[in-house]
Amino acid sequence: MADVLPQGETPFVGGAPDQHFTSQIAQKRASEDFVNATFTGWRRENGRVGVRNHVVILPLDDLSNAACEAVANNIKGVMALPHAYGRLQFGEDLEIHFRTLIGVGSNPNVAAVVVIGIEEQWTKRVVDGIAKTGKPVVGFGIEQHGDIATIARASYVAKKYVQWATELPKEECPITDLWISTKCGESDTTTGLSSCPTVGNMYDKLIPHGIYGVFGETSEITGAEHLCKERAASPRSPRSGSVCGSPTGRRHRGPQDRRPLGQPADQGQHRGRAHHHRGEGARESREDRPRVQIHRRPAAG
Amino acid sequence: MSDKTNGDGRVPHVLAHSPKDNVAVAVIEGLKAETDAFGVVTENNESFGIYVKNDIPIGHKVALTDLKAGDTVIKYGQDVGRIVADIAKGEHVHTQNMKTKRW
Repeated sequence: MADVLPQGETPFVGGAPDQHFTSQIAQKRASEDFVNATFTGWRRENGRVGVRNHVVILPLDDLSNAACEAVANNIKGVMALPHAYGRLQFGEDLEIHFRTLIGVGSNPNVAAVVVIGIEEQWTKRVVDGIAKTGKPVVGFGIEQHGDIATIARASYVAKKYVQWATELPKEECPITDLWISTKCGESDTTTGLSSCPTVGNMYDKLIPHGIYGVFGETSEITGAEHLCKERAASPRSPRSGSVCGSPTGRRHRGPQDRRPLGQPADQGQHRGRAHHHRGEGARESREDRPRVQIHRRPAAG
Repeated sequence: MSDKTNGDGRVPHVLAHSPKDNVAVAVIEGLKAETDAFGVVTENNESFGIYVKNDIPIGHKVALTDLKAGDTVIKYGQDVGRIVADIAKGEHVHTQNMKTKRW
């Protein structure tokens, strides 16, 4: 994703991008059955259309999972999305994490989002990213409030969001508003015989009609790169109309777990205190960091 | 079983994807040597017969034509590799006689 998007831009903001499709192969395979096809969905503030209508409780990091699940337990109809990430991550790895969370919240299948993190400052970063879509989103920091007060505050908003989202009307939308994404589930003897050709045929028949096809885990196309490449809108993993990106088009990156320069190995990862829990300023210079009494490992030797 | 049969009402032993394919895939367990196997081309639902000369494990390939070393294996209508040892029609196609062209 990072290769095809300008820095700082989130993947799903601002409506569907222009759609292009250049492959003559797929044009030939386009099915006439879908010329005037429509589907019903919820049109979001940015013009994108969802076929689901979730209110998502999104944890910023795995420390906030419990609070999010507690809110989902309080307020029926919301969906907590716990995950194992957000700590011990640095640099590009951390950026991908934030972009992923912003992408999840920005998905048009999501009506509204409550983000819960440890620190308000970092939570706000994801909230601001999702807010670009124009959908209702609010963030809560657990720090200085505690779990119980945070769960209570988030639950009030979640309930308000569910009531609002439930009343949103569905509308009939042209098939050009439809995004279809695929993800490798599991491969066995039968997938190459049945599901893979079916999914490929679906894209060949629908993309010429203006759907937007995306997929993840591009390593799974090994052996079929040429087939995907000849269906792509441009040679380099384009944003629009393509069903694939070229794995060889990747810009070189350093290792994702590389420590920022000047960051001692035992700081920022010590005792489960991910660096982002200490505030953005804490990373700038060592002197600015608040003195926190925590047990440190003795120096080596 | 009716959902596994084609128009003839028979369960295929092997499936080919495209009429251009020179190999088919065994889709039943225990396809034994010296079987008159029943095959279907998934792209157009045409049926064919192939006399299988080796045991073919499920998911493995069987040659639909005589293949010479250097020939290209076509599956899904696509080039999936080259033959490295001559194969007679009906024989097992696997790593002992076929190799990818890519590495």
